Amino acid sequence: MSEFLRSYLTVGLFGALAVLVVGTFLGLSSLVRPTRPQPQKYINYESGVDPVGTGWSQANIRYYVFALLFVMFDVEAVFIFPWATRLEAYGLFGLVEMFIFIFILLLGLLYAWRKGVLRWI
Amino acid sequence: MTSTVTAFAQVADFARPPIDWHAVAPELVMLSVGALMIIIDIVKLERAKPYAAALSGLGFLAPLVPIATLAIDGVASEPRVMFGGAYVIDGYSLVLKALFLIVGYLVVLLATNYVGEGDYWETEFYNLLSASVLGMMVMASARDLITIFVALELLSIPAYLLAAWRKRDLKSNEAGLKYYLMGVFASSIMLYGMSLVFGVTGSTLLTEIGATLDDGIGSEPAVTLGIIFVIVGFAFKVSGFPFHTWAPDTYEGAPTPVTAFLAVASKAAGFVALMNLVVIGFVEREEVYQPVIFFIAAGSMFAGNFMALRQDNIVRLMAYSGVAQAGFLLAPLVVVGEGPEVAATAVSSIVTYLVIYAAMNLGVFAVILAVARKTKSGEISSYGGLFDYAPALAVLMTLFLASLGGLPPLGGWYAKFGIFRSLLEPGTGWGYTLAVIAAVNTVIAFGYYGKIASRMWFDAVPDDDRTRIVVPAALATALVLCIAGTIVSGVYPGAVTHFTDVELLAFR
Amino acid sequence: MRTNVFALDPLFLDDVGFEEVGIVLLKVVVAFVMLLVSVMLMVWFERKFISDMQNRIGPNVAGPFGILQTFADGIKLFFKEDLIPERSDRFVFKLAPYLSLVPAFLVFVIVPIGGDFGEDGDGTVTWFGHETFLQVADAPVGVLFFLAMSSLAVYGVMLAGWSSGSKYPLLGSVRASAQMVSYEAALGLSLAAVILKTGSLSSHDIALAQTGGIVNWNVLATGIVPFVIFLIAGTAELNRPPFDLVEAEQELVGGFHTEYSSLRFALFFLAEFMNTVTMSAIIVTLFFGGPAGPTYAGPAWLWGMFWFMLKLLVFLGVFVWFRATLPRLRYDQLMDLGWKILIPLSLGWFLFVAALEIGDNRGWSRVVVAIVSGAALALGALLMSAAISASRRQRLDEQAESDSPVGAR
Repeated sequence: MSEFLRSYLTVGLFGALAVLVVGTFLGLSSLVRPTRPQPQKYINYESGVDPVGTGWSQANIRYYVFALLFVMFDVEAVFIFPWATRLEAYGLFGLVEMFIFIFILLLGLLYAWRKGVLRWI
Repeated sequence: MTSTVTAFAQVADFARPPIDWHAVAPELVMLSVGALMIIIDIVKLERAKPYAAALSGLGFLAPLVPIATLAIDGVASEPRVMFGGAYVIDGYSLVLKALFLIVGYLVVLLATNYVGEGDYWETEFYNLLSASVLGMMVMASARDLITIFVALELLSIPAYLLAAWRKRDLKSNEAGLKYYLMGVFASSIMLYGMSLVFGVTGSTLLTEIGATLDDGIGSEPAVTLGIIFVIVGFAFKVSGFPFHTWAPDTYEGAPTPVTAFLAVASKAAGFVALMNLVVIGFVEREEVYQPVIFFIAAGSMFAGNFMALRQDNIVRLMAYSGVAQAGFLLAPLVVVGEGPEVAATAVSSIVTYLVIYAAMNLGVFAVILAVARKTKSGEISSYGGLFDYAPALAVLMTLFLASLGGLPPLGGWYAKFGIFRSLLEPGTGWGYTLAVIAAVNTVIAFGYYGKIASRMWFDAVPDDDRTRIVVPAALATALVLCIAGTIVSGVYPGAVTHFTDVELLAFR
Repeated sequence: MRTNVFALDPLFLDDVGFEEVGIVLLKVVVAFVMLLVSVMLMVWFERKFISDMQNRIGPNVAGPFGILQTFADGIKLFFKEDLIPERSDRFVFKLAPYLSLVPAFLVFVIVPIGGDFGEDGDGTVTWFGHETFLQVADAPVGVLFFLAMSSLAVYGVMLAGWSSGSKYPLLGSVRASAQMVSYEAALGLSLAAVILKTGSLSSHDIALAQTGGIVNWNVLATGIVPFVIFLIAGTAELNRPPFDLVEAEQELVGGFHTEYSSLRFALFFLAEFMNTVTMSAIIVTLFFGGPAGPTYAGPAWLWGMFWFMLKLLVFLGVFVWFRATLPRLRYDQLMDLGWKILIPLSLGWFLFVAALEIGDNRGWSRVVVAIVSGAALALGALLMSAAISASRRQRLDEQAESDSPVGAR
């Protein structure tokens, strides 16, 4: 078995063990814990009063905008990480390329900044 | 270091690819103009608005300089090949790049007043326009599946945004959303097809794909499926039947200058990609693409023309007319497998058509914009009696429509003639059948083009409102350029064919 | 070309002996137990340490120095009634604790917790005649695995809040997801400088590259700034104070786990503290040499473990210290810090380190490289600050025009 596959198999084993342990905890707990249903217990918490309206309200659009911006930076990491591991191979050429790339990227951030997207309210 | 590092060390040593800076200068100029515009926008914000249109217009003209020097340098006879054949600058790509830039410039002319007078984000409009045109320029040179896909996304994503530019108008939002969903759907289908083709041929380079398919390896069903998916994906892009349904709604809802851009430039870019893929990559798999393209081409002509006959809104009518024209443009691709000479004729006839179509179609949209400044309406009935109070516009519109219909001696006639010639040249059944279908459809098309013309010349003015139409300078310039292109290309076709007589060759 | 699939060895077992399987199982179980125990100790440590800082006694009843307090709490929650609100999305509601806890477990996989990381050690330990690493798995993309898992952790929080079908949890979860993705970007970018120095994504190689003295530790080799960014972004990823807006009691009751009770609540609690432990371990590995340190008498791998634990303890202490001293940020301050300071700074510093590295390998003068690249970055910063001050001025003008009080909506 290759070293590569083996390490991932170990990771999988670890994850499976984690799921198993959590599941066992919950299973055991469900056997021993009491269940005394009362309708009031299953009402959503809203500072002590009965909840008004639905719980799934609309969230501020800004959260969404930030998530979009995040995608921009996360995708860029796809480019930066491989380059960082092979810094020497690409040499000065790679460095200049990366300067240009990050310049354009920062231009995007700067644009968002300047247009007030990053201003929270 | 330990064994885990070897996975990275196995990567072949990197050698800096030789870059022909002169050859990529047009793209670099376009890119730096785009970056410059963003910087100006960042620094100046609202104060940059008055210069945005002018700067962007200059930005579209500036890359024409390196294109001209490249042409003088003899690129047409000695193509520049980069990145192992993934990026080729030859006569074909130069002509198309010039076409995209000029169309971009004309769209800026159309948009200047429209965007400036409405409640729109202005600098972003031009930024996105130039980003989209940059994608098209890359597309003209792309000879590699990945490059084609990146170029396609670069040209599409700004276009999705532009289609929804009238932010507070529901129709525009609908247009943007429809275009976006359809475009993404098409992209994913196409990407799936590309991955199938890559999986079997083992290369993303179109030349190598072509060579592999030539060796007979490509008779696997996976390749067949891949080719069909890729063609279908681009059929969405060029609004070919039966994937044209987004076009009328998007065209109607989008701001009219954007509609012009989508109808001309975006569609042309789709055809460029199709030509690259079919003529270089898939050319040996005639039995797969021939029926598919035949069906799409014939279907587009019929569906477009018959639906156009029933339209009341001029922009929707132009959308369906665009579908029909897409059928004409697709037709020569059916016969490209008959031999290199036939392929050369087909490619140059499509490029010629694209150039002439750009001139006449942008002309129509310029007139629509000018008339809408007064009538605020897109209904064909609002064109009644246009000749009475705006004779110049009526004459121009008639000329453009006649050209679209294919009446000599206007440009459209020569473009259609080229298509017919390339269809008949190989002398195959597919070609003849499609030529007959095209001929029938040319006649049908006169029905709706004539309808608009008769409204303008013979009907009464609605509400008897004869206030003059003031055509702004930018729009007038665009109109002059378009009519000049339309007439010159018909009267003296050599002026166009001198540039568009290009070949699409495979380079290694 | 087409080989018979059944002729292959589906589990690739042909060259794996009993000892190797045993070692893997041993490592998995030991790491698992160690993690659980250290989390329980961490909870106690936090409560005790913070009570000392606040001049009170803290838990002192269960066991010596109250060390069994966590255990007692766990048992109590184990026997509590489990409530699932009727308006909730039951499936997702039950799924969320798993999504929160399993990534927390998995991150620990890549941490080298011991081994011979002395002056000329290679980070291995020999058990039963087999050389192995004292870490559960050495994935070649270790660092990316860490980033992937910390991204997955967002799902647990987000879905827990969403599935509750209640207002406060929903607010907490959207806050959490925006906060975590924002700082995720800075986290990844500050890591890039470390990867650049090591040239490998494997956590073992990163630890190995830092052996041989404090100057080799990445915290100094990359010039402190990436470490500071990583520490801040890491704290924000953990939703720990001062970045605990997700569960800001004064505003959101309990944040995303308001509706959770009984053991499910305990699992979120566990995940949170487990994340703290693993994040400290990751910081130690990436920036402080992991198990690297001088070795003396006795087995070298034990010394590695000792140094690792010592460093880990320091960072656990730092996190508790943060909690005891720093007031919570406002949400706009949080976003400003992430997007306007950490991300540009980490990008700029990353380029600076890359330029120095390239220059060093070519034998250029460090001073010249520093001046040139510093000038380039300063130019960028100038452009940025020009834009910022202009936009601030504009905003103030707007506010003055609209005659609304500063800070109003």
